[in-house]
Amino acid sequence: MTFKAAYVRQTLDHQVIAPSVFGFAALALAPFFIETKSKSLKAMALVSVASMLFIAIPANMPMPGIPPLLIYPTMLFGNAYDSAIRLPQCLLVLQGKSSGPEAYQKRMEKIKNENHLPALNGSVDLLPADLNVVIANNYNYQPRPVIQSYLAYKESLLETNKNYWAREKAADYVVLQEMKDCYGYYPTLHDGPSWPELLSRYQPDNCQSSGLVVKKRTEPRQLKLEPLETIEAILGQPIDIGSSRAGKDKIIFAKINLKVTALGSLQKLFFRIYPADISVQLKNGKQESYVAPSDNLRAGFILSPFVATPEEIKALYSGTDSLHQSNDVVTVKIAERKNDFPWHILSDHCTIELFSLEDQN
Amino acid sequence: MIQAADSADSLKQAASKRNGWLFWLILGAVIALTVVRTLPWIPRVIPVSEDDSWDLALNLFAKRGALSGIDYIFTFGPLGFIYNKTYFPDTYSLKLLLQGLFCALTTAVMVLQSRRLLPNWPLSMAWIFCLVSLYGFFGDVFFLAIPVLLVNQYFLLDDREIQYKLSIETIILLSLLALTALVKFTFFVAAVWVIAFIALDEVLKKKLPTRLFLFAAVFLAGWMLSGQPLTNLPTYISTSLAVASGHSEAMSWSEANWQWPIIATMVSTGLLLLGFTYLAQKRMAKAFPIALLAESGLFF
Repeated sequence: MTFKAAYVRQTLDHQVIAPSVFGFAALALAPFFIETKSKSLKAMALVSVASMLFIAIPANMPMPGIPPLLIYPTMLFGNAYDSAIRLPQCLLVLQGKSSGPEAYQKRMEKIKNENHLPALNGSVDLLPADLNVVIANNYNYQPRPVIQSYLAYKESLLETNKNYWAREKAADYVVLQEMKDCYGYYPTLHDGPSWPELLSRYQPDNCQSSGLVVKKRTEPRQLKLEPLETIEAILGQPIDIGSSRAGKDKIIFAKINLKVTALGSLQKLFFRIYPADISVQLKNGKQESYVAPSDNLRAGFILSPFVATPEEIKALYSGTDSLHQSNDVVTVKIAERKNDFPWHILSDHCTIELFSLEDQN
Repeated sequence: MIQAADSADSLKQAASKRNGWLFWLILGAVIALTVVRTLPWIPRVIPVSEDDSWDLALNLFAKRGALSGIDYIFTFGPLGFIYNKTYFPDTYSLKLLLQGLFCALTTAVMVLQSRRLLPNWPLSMAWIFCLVSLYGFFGDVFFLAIPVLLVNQYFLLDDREIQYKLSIETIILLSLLALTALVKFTFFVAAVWVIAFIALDEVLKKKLPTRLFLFAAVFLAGWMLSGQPLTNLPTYISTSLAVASGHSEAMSWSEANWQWPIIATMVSTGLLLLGFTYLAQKRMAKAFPIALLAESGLFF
């Protein structure tokens, strides 16, 4: 639990969890060891606590300018220093004079100024993830169940969100911001199965660089996924999907079935595996490369045209030729991105099912 | 032999001397200092390197009484808003109050354990000071300190002769553990893991699993008091499991030289578990694997 919380996403912010929890556990046991009469146990306990505090903590929590052996003593000193620093703040809070409200207001104003969006009269949701924008704008926030798209990474979660848009309580407006976050998914893999629903049930209302606002339609557009072809592909080799469109400008929806090897599954259970890499070549010659978790690929997403910005998403709604002429995907390549160990986590072959999103009206 | 007996007597005398007014004075002072050190008196309003907007959203959901697992699916439960130091106008006071409660009671247990384990107050103070340097450092330690202290308390400290009797430390820790399980789903798993092995130990001794009942009662009361219908609990657990099971692929990330921090931590933890095994085996004889599983589950 603690191990995976710390080391699946092994950034400095996360890996600090393990040595701090384990260091606490080592210190909490120290008096029990002091009580024992066995000298060898005492020696081992001393080595264990010391290695936690003076090796594991510095290895996971490097502090610039501080030698590793002094990191824990610095934390001890910081303990006393922090108590002294916080006492006046504590007294201010107890007197009702916290600095929080003013600082909070300033931050909300800053977020609002950096994300120009119109006032919206109705409930609002936002994709993919920056919920601060909804809160800073004082919108009537009505989120889909999995509130941030990067977290909808299992088929069941993606399905839950997809089914939500048809419900009465689904937001009146959805703000579609640029489809990027720190996790690096292919843009339309963010809540992939929800996109046909969003295209069907909402229409553009306002477009700014900080987000395309789409409004719920009174009657949904009848959109249907028509099967185009199924391709047996080999990982790492580009697949030509231009021919599937038969010369027409279509929205191509793909379901890609990757198989994780037995070793990969074991590795995932006890440690981590990295999501696959998806690279696309666009009609305009650009190449784009992103992260693609296997469940998101399997659940389906709009593969072509490539859309990420609010302006491109607006063009997707209107079906403009220029979007297809520049952003249609010509080839797609799925590959294993990397692995921490010397074996493969994905099978060589994958299946790609292509559909076109057809307007039935 | 005589020396050992003298030593034990002096420890008892020292402990009994530490039961008077000095104990209460030190308990109050340590709790006050830890609360000052740990709580978000300077609340976080600046953005962090990774997205933190979910944190504000959790506070908004708490204000609205939104339903976990239904209105929102996330890795946090109904008390998720108290996990961080983030400022949100409508929940800040409640966050301070609840974090204060966790902090004060956890610190009280540290003081009570030190009184039983260490021969004098200066040593006790030094020990608690070292613990608090990590305890107040990060949200996960703040909450996971509870199962860690509970494993030590139940398996290594509570009276083995009349173990059926609940100690005050165990009652505090069990109650906090149940509330911790409502904060983050990882904590729920950790709590269930620990309580399962404690209950197993009780059942093997042909006792009623009283601690499990206490845990369940506080957990369910906390669930309902935080505005969550009992009927939503299975949905919360199943959706949280889905979130937890996808984490190991979709969120994976590492930078260069990722191996060293992990190796250093695993070696240190391995040594710690060896030491714990010895202590548990000495106290519990053949039943020691139960304690070892409870402890190691918190780590891996």
